Amino acid sequence: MSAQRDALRTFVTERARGIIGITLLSGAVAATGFVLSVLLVWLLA
Amino acid sequence: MRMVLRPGPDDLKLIGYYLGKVLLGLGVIMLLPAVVALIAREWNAATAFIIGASLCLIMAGVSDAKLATNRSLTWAHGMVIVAVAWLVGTIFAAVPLMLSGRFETPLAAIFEVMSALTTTGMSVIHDLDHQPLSENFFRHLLQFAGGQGIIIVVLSLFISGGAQAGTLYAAEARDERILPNFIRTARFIFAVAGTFLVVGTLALFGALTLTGFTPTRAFYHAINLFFSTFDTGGFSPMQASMAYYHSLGVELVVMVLMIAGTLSFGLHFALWRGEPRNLLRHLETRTLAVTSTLFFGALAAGLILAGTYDSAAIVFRKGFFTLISAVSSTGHQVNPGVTYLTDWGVLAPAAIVGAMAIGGMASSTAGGIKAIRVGIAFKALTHDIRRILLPESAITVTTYSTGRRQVLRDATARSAMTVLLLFIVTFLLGTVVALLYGSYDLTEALFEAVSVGSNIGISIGIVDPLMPQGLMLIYTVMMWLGRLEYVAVFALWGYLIAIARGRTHA
Repeated sequence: MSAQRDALRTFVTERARGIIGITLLSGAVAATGFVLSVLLVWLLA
Repeated sequence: MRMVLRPGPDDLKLIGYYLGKVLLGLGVIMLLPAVVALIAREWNAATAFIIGASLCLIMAGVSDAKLATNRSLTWAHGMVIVAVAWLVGTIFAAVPLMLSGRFETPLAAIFEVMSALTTTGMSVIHDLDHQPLSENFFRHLLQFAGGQGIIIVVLSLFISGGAQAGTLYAAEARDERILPNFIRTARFIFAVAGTFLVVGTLALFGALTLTGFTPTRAFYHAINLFFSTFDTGGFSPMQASMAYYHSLGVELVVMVLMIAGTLSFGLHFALWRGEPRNLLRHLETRTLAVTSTLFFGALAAGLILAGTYDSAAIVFRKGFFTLISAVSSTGHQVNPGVTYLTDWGVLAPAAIVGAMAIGGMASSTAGGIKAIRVGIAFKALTHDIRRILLPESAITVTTYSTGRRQVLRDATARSAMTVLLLFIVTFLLGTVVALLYGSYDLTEALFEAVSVGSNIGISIGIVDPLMPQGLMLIYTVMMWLGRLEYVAVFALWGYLIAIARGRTHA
């Protein structure tokens, strides 16, 4: 029973890490893009 | 010079046996849209899918009965099987589309399937907005199967031997072995896709429902968009692509999925294991971060200087989305392709072309030259410059990280440069062929050639149902070459020469 619980915990933890990691990475990428947009509009427009 | 041996009947039998397995997988895949067609009461489409699936399953049955063998695969066999499987699979998968009557010619149906399987995402279908639900679902499902690697799909389901699987896995341009065993690697890839399938579809469903879609329609669009986005394919259920939805929420979810799709499965593995540092140190991540920042800077500057958009919010929403779509090799569009030519000036489309050429990460579902090759080529260049500048007695060693520190070797640099060069030659050839038709200018021809050759799918307008058939054929071959990254196709060419001119005994 404990082994099954551990396996389930690993299953859920790994997937949660994967999803959260990608979401945070995407957030960082999008934030960089937005800041660059603001800076370039301010500089060039 | 050593003379190559002519492949014997046993070799051809082995290749035929594995091609049968691929057709078996394809036949099973075709049954899914057949079920959708029956539920949606699309009787013509259902008949077409049943005919297509039956053809595949009959061929698979014949191959299993007549060609079954216990012989092991060599690397040459693996390469040839993969190169031929992508051609044969494309032709068989095109059968239901040929029967649909929505394509001008059989070649157009083959183009559509090659575009789907290679996750390019360009379409030559007539009246996409009124296509039967099952046919549209089939197009997106093919992108999922092709992005995951049709061979990987098959080998993880129908082939048990790890060594056999490994040969096919590498031949399909998936050379990163994440886990010690290829079958386990293939299953990890499925686990990542399965997780994102659930979470991504739910997120898209939520965003579409908020936009005003009914639950059934939202679910249909969500699953199709997931298939085409996570596998960096770029098909869309509607002709207007992402512009159809007019929804920032949908675009943001799609952006996250595009980034997830362009990340190599090795880096997904690092995230799953809670080792994000590996992600940040990786040469490929750094190369992609630097090149994408530079290309976005150029793209945004181009849009602002051309007076296309003057607000940061619109530059971000239109420009940044397009950049991520190009880098990830997805090909979703938030505005009609012709606007790149008419409204976006010169610098912005040039930045998109650069981003499309590089593409995403190796061992992901993305296409293009791949960031790792560009990173290695840059490292090799700086290595050579350092060697020139330092005293002759100095020993220069260049290292880079791919999860662990590696020393840059000549063979690695040569291999990266060769593929990089082959991509560039293909882009140029595709451009010249389009120019020969005399109907397109250089910007259009280059843009479309890079988009097709890198399996991106953003179209400036050349690809349409009435485009010249010769150009359609050339683009079909370019998609095939780009997806298999040349090696398997060259191996097939060598194999054909060996059949024609090889020695019969050692």
